[in-house]
Amino acid sequence: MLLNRETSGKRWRIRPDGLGKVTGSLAYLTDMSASGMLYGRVLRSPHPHALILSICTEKAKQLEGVHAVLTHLDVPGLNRYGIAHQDQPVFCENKVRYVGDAVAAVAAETAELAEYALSLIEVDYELLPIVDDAELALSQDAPLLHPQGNVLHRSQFSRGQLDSGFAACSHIVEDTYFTPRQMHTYMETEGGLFVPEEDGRLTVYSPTQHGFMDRLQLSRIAAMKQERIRIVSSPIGGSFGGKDELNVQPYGALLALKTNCPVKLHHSRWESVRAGLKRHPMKIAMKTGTDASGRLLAHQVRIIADTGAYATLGAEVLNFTVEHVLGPYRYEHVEVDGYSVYTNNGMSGEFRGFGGNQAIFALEGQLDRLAEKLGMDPWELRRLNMRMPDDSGPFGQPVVVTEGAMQVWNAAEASGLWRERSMPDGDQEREPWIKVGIGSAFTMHGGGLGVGIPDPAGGRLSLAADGCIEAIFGYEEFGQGLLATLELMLIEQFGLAESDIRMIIGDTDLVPDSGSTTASRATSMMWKTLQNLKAPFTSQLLERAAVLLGKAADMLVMGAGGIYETAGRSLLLTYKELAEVEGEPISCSTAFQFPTSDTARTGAHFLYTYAAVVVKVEINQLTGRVKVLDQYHAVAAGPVMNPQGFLGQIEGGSSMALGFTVTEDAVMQQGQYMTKNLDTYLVPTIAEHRGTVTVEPIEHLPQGDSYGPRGIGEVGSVTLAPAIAAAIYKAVGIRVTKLPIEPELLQNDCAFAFAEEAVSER
Amino acid sequence: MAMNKQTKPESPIVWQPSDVAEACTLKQQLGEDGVFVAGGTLLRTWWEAGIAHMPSHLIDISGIANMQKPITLVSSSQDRQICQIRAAALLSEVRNDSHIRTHYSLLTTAMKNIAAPSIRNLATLGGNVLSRVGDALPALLVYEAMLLWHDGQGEFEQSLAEWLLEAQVSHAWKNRLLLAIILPPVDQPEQEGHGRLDVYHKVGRREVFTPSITTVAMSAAVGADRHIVEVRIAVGGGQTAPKRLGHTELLLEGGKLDRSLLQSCYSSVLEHFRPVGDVFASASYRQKTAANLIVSELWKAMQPKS
Repeated sequence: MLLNRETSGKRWRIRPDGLGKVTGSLAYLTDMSASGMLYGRVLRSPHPHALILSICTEKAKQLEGVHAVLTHLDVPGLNRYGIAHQDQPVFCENKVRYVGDAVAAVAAETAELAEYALSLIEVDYELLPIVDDAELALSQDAPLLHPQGNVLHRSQFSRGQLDSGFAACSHIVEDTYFTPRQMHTYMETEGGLFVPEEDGRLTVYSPTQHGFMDRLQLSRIAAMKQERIRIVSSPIGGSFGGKDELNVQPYGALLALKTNCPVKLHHSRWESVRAGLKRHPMKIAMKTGTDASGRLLAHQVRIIADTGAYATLGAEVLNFTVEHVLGPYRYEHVEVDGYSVYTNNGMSGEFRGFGGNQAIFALEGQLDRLAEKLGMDPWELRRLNMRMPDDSGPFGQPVVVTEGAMQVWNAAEASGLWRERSMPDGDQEREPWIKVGIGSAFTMHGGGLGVGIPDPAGGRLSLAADGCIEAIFGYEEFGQGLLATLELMLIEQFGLAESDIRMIIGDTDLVPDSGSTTASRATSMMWKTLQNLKAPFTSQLLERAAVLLGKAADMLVMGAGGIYETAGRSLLLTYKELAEVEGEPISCSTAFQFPTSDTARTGAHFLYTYAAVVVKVEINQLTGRVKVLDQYHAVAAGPVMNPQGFLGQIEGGSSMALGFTVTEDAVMQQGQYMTKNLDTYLVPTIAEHRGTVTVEPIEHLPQGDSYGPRGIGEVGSVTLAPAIAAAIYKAVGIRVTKLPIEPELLQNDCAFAFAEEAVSER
Repeated sequence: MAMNKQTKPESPIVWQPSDVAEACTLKQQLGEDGVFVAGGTLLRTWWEAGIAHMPSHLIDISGIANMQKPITLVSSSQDRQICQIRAAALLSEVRNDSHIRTHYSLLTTAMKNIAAPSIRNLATLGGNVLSRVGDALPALLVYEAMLLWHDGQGEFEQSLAEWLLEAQVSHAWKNRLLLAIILPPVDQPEQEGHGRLDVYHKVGRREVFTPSITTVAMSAAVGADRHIVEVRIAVGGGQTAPKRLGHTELLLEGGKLDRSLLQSCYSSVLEHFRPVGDVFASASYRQKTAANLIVSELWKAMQPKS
């Protein structure tokens, strides 16, 4: 069943944070201010690679209205951060490695003063040779960016005998694929308010995707006990992975602690581009072969990811890519060799899709090329090689059995758009320079952080003193619709009314550590939490009510507004009345880990979402520009928890994928951004979004599946690019290997106008 | 600035002259320290990018009395109307003017394709012209627009094409105040059966709200016998100085549209349009795009009408 307003019926609801967002009344954390607040700014290196010979802050300190100027000498604790590997300096000591590297920070009475104070800080640099290419960084004579070398992480995987595998192949294709340095481009740039409290604690109001991780990291930097720090991390104006790592927090925290005043930092778009994370640009070389019938025999992959100056999650992204370059297919002989390489380019890190986007663009390109060699329908080739439900995962690890791969394959095969593929033009007459094609692609995408990485989950349900049922989770709302989904789950699973519910998220003083709001995991984990809590919480409530009402608990049920009699369906007791009764607080919590595979392979996944995309594109050969006309997405991710949220995630992910494919690239030369602002870094606008995005969720799970809804936060961003590339090939016979697509590649001259029959053909 | 105690530099002083003479006097007094400003939409991007320093004085011309009425029509000798657009006319005002839409449709199309509504409600046509690479320029070149300047002594007119050339070699114009952009009357074809070919294309890296890679403006009259007359073609885009393609116009003028003329036209555009490439689009892509757009429009014009 297609997902839309009509098919969703009553489940199509106004989201709880919708009104505030639409009217602008909702205050984001970067909208906050406090009396006596100072403005913080960070001095960043203008050079991609240099030694710091000296830093003089005297003039800046003497500026009236400046309350603090900090450098590495002022960091009380660890002068490093990083979610997984702490190698990024809060303040550089003697070396800068990219143009966003922080050297000093100031707090002043106005934003203008703070900016001016930065110009008074004198830093002497000695320029070093710039390593602006990941391949170059791997060469023997490349300058070393870190003492241990330029390789942050190498990840390999192999199975079978590659040489004999290729020797047995009848068809082999080889190509090299390049993907862009995509920017998250959240509407709300990084920022926050940092408040030193009277009791010596520090409150941080700043977006992140895992409040407890920020608390841990800040405690190391500020040398404070974690409990002395409170992180308020929601609501957020977009993140997409980009705000999971620390950004302004170390500077805000240290400046607030130093001055004992509230400090606000908020990046301009310029500073956000310069200092913020991007998607890893990757170069992926693939050699893939089949036998004469089209069975995949051998697959060789080499990945080079430009991770920029410091680690953050570069190693984990590479692990994900290594797993996902294998995709939902069976091979006998496989060899993957991946490098995540330090350069003096901008920081790469976590971004929706987490290395899967790059992998699938390359892998699906290989399948299309092989199909052509085989003279086979490309979709049929995928079916022929598709993994079976009880096959092990890409690394040979045990994974949860589902029929997702076949389900999305079938759905796409049956879709109206795919059936149009032999006649994409239909009856429509087009100008001779307009070419139309339909393409498709296929993916499996892992959810959760994977084996070997702490991945806690859980939450709490309580009956509050005012009679509200409180759902308390350590997650963040960054626009993805987490609150709307949680609310609908509570309504559907407990029979509650909207007015019975209070959702508490994103505040480390109030919530349990539910793990990160990343890796397409939050909805799955909220569902599991509610599954765990449903019986104990309900029975606590009903037993209390039973005593009060003098009825048997099994004659009572929870419903909208309070407790009902099973038989009569009449309201016997409101939640408020129940809350007013004396007794132990009614509260239940659960804590568990995101389910993982029984394997030693770090990062290997256990739960996967499957997706197939069909897309129709139009190429204007005068300009070489590509327009997407129509999209179909089949997504097998278990039951739909919130139809609007599901649709929004797939549409939104697809929109980011469109940018990844046609317009977006943070271009760098010599370690400097050429796209410093949104006037040159171009995200798609509404004008790029033509036609419809049809989404077909496949909710069926095998009997006995206990894992419920799989993640859908990322998968929508993964599969569109290779489908567009396939459609382009169908339309004009040109293979795209580099994203975003360069229009020049698809441009033609006006041959139609110079042909003999130019006049008569129309 | 005191030696020990640092103080912050002041923000620019904004002058708001009420007439042209006062504005010109201010400019003469302030010299390079004073910069004329109206919408300021482009200047602020330059300041932010460090392409230009924020000056210590801004001379805001938007309050000048005779800048108030954005568009006026003046009758010329042959009882035809000259259209005078004040330099401080907002892009949105130009876009929505019905006389301009009827008689200078390329300019209307150009306005629609500049930036986004919020910017078009602040930015001015004068600013777009004086940027020397604005999207209005190819359209204005096709209409053979004139610029009305005030140099402190008095008013004078200069053709837009001439000023674009002058500006490549001299900064003297920066001391003058642009008062208006003057559009001469458009000659409508008198012969029966002539159709107008009026096209404006802006190709950027995305569909809307995008800097131009290549801009083409073309106007001509095409007869039923496919003869083409009154050909005017202007090209621009990116950092390329917009210009008329005189050679190509001559080649086409009076000719009959057929495949050989189209072929020659294509070669002529490639030969005479020398755009500047950058990190986002090569010169050859820009050149080919212009040639493709021009020739495809001519090709469309020569198709039998269905």
